[in-house]
Amino acid sequence: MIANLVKKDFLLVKKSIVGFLGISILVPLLAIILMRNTAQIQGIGMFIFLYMVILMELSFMQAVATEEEKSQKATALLCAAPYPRKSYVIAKYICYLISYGVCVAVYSIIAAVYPRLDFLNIAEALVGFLVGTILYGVYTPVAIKYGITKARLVFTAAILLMSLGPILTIKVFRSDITLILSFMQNTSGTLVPIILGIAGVGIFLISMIVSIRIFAKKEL
Amino acid sequence: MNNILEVNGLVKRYPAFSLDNISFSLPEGCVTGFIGANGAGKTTTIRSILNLAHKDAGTIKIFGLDTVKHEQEIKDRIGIVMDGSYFYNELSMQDMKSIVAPAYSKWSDADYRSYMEKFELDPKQKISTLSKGMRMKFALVLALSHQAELLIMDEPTSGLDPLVRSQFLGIVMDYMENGGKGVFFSTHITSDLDKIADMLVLIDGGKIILQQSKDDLLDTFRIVKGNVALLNDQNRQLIRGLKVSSFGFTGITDHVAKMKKELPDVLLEKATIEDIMLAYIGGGNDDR
Amino acid sequence: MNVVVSNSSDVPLYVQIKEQIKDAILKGELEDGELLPSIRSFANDVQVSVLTVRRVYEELEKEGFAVSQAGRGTFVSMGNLELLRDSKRRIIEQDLQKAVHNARLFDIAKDDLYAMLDILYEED
Repeated sequence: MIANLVKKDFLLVKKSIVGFLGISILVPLLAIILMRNTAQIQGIGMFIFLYMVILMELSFMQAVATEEEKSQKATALLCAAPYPRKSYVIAKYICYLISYGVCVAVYSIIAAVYPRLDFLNIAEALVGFLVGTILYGVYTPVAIKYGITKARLVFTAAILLMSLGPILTIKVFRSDITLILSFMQNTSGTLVPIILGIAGVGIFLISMIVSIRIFAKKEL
Repeated sequence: MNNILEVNGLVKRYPAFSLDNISFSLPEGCVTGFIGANGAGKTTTIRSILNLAHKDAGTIKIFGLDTVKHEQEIKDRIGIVMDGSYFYNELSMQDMKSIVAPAYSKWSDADYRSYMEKFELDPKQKISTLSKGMRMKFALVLALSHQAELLIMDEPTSGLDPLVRSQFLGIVMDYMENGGKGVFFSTHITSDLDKIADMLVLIDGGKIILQQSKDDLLDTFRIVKGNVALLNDQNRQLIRGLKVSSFGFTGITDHVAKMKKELPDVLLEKATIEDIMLAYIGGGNDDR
Repeated sequence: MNVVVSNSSDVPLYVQIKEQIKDAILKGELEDGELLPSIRSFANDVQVSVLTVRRVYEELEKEGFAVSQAGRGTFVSMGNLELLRDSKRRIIEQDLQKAVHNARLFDIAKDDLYAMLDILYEED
């Protein structure tokens, strides 16, 4: 049942899927090209991955939501069919997981090919998951309750943060930045990944439950 | 006789409009027309039955099961036809079907293909390129391809030309003759009902005005026409939708026997469903 | 069976149909035990509502002209007719009984009784 609803989201944007893949490939490629002459920065991969995840989410989820809003009543038809409202929401979250998985896959393939790009370790992957989940976890309930026009504000805020974020982070943590990056790189120990994992999964589940509740009450 | 759909005390409040204690029951084996003017509450009632809108009060049962407690089970057994805007316009009919079909346990691809052929629809065609009539037919295909026991339809014939409308009515008749247990459809086109409705439910201003067998209505009501001078305060009460002009009065009555006694000199004629409906919702008696 | 209903008659539709079926049964056009058409197809053919046909069948059953069996349909049942015919026979039997008794009393022979019957029939 849910599988079909997941399929639905992909069907709705099938024309743009190549574009999304393109974006996820382009980000690391661009980074590699831009950095080919600089010294290797430890842990830069994490930021590249973060960008990939955020951009992927932005484009994919926004595209699906736009299509859904164009044919709003189609959602009603699906809910008039024996699809539980819960499944409708869960399917969306599964789509997010799939797109996250695609980012991991694309990154790993490129890292396998290009020696200067390190593979992601668990902590870095989980950071990506956490940030992406925070973004998606805020966007989705807002989109369900208030529509995509208001939800777009969330993405706009994310883009702003993305552009200013690294700069701000560097400004704030100026001297400590290399420390943090190497800390991330060296931590294959258990504590940090566990905390990140719990936080990520926790936010994922909370957002999903909230979205399910909002959608259950929604008038179609 | 079992009731296939029972609505009891349905209340739904919106800022500008409310459904006020709606109650009606549909016996099995009937085609029921749900009539009312635009804005009378037909679509809101249907959306409440389907749990698309959440009711503020009341119970609704389909096949004897509560629509909230047995929601999925019921929806598996009913076919829905709403207007064509309930599809993803950018998808082809095939894609749309691939999303909707798996939800139904008794879906039959063979039925789907034969209906698509019968209605001359090309599955690969994009929904946005379909005419209104074709969209309605596609909605019917989806509703008829999973052995639905009850069809619920919201204004399925509005905006359709007479030929397509007549095809639609034929399809409904076929459905009932081939195992369908009931059809419930809303409309404001009363001529459709003349042909296929067994039972009529009239709604106006969020209230149920009447629920009766169509033949009973046609047997009981008569148009009355006569000389204005014949009217008095007493016999006036027997007439609905009274209209007075310099040439005489006209109206509708369901008290034919009394009418013949009190006003033996009036003309009594058969009324159509539209006459009856207008008399009830036309806004009371009009005496000048 | 021919059922023709008039929309412009004052007689309610269900009464028209019911009476025409009763006529058909009494005339023998419908036989005892014969299956009446399904409610839905009857309604479609005569162009009346299913509820009207249902009412006709229910009233026919109440009045003893038909019997409905769940899941199988409604069948013509002459049971009541037999009773009706029987009770009419009984009345005549009783009258004839009286005539025979009186004939014996007044010493009138059987042949004379027959002759009287013949004359009486011809008078009508």
